[in-house]
Amino acid sequence: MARFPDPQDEPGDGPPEASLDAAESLRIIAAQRTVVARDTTPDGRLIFGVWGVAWLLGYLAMYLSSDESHAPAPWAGAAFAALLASAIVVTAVHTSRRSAGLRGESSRVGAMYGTAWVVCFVVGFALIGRIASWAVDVEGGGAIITIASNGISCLIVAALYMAGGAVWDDRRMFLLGLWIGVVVTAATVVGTPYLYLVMALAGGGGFLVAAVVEHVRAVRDGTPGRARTREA
Amino acid sequence: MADGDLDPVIHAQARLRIMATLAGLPAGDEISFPRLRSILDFSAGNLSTHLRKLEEAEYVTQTKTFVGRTPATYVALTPRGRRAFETYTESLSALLGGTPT
Repeated sequence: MARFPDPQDEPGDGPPEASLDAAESLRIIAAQRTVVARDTTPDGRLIFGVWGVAWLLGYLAMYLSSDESHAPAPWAGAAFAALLASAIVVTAVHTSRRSAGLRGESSRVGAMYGTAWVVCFVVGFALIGRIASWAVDVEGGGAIITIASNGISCLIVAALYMAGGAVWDDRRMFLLGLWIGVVVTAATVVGTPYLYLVMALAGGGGFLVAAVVEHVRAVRDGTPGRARTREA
Repeated sequence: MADGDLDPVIHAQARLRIMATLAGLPAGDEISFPRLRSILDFSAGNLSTHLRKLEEAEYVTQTKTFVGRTPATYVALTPRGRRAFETYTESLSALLGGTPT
């Protein structure tokens, strides 16, 4: 392939341009598209990974520390809350870094989607709070509170993952939401204390499988996580 | 088709990388000048020079705005620029005779 000079580069325009051939140009385009995709979209391995670990360890602690009345130890509840809070912080920081400096249609879609999570959980916690205030005085109320709080929270997660999959035409995200819906239905039916075990293994495990699938896809597509640590 | 038929505005390494980056963003999105610079790893002067050429060809727009009190510039591909980039990539494939490396 013949190389030729770039006719647009007059003197004084900075360093002279290297001339290009067609194959080199296509390679540059492909490489640049890979870099853009990797740098401006969230890494599913990190997001699914932190949620998988949080659910697996948190629910497992709740299950293993449950006493005869199916009530988990306070330390397990605190550990679970800390794991979920960490996953929320990692998700929020990571997605905001990846979308830094971008604005327009997809930023508006992302902002609306993020707001939907916040609003749904505010409604969910209000509902859980009301149910808990009634159930606390009822015989077997602990199980009611557990099933309601887990079911309401995970219903929101399942619904918004499926909605996100629909919005972005992302089959993996949709399937993950679908799977969480199946798992939460099963956990709700079996009730305490096995609810925690189902959520840990099938729910947390589902996220971890999704993280592995993302990793396989990233390696196949040649977009392994960025080695650069410079921030946007 | 000869090499010389390739769009000379795009067919230079620096501008090709800029165009490929902007085309890689979803249509309707804009990117801030510093973020674009960080993805491309260009100097500010070099990026400005090439963006000006792309702007003269009406392939990109540069929107000056304020984020809080800080001035900010957002860069986006125009519909004309997106079409030119598609034509360019199709021409490359045609040049290679359907045997991409």
